[in-house]
Amino acid sequence: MQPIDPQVVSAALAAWAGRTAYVHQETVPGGFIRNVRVDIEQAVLRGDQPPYRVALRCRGDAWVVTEGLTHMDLTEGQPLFLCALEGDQRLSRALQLSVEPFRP
Amino acid sequence: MRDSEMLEGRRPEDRPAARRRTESRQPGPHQPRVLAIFAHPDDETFICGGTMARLALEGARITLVTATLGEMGRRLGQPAYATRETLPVLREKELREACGALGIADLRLLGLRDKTVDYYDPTDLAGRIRAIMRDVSPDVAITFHEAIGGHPDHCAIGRAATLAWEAWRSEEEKRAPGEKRAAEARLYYVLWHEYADQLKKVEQPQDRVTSVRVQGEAAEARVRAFRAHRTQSQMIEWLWDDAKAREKLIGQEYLLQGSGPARPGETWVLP
Repeated sequence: MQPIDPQVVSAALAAWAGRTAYVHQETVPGGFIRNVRVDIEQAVLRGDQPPYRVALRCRGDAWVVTEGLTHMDLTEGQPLFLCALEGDQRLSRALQLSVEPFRP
Repeated sequence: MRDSEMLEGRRPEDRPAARRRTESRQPGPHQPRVLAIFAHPDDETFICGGTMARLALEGARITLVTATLGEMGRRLGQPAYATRETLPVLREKELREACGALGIADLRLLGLRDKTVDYYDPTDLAGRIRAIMRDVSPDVAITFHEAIGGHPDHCAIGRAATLAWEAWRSEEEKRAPGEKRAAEARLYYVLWHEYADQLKKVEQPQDRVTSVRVQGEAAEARVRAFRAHRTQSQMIEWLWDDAKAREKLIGQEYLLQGSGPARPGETWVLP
């Protein structure tokens, strides 16, 4: 897990445009959605400094918007992982995109 | 869903408690059987690891049921090195290592998803646990109390385990009326350290509290098991200092008697 590099994440998100993704998103405390499928039309990162915001604009006027993101784990061939880590390294938010469904 | 998983094949040096057990005492027909039913990997260690280790050292065969893999845990290591998707794999490995340290021979994973236990039908869950009770035929069962588990998953698995216990006990009573072993089987609920407030919530008198002393080899095993759950324990500074860890993890664990008449002043769970 590394601090978000906005240019790197923006490029990774841009590659999702026009693709179908399985989404895992959570906020702690708050709740989560998992393995919800969306057809992404546009995926963008916004913010001049951490924390960043990410929006997925999807077919059917659907939106997935996640705020407060600080860290990334981008590995070739793996799902895209963005999250918020608190000072003690505990996760408080996450946004994940995958071509295949996440494990049950 | 995973089937019953055995740890018997592990190298003996990984499970010193169990090794000493077999040296000092031959398992026989009267080997006590213990069934622990919890929600997440680490519940068995962080809440009652000393009790588990003492049971194994005294020759009990322990079956641990863990409902989820703790895949929604917020702790990802220190610094964070797991993701949501690698966390369950790591936590299962950690759980197996902790079982080795504590002398837990039989691990059964229910394969539920973390933070969702509360949303399953309690009767279905109880049915799955009762099947394990039939298989294990425990002398002692340990789980969470449904009102004071402290986390919705804990309360839900505790409720299901209690329903399963009641059904299994009445089934046994019908099968073999008056049979001594089944009649004396005991259910316990784990209590967190500050148990007085919890007791008020369930209106249980103090004399239903069993206070278990953890020291010596059991405390050492508890330290090793805490450390085995490293994604969850790396941030606990005292744990990684041998002297401080020993000082912290020698002490009492508390259980609430969930069956039979009160046994005031009880200090151990095996009859």
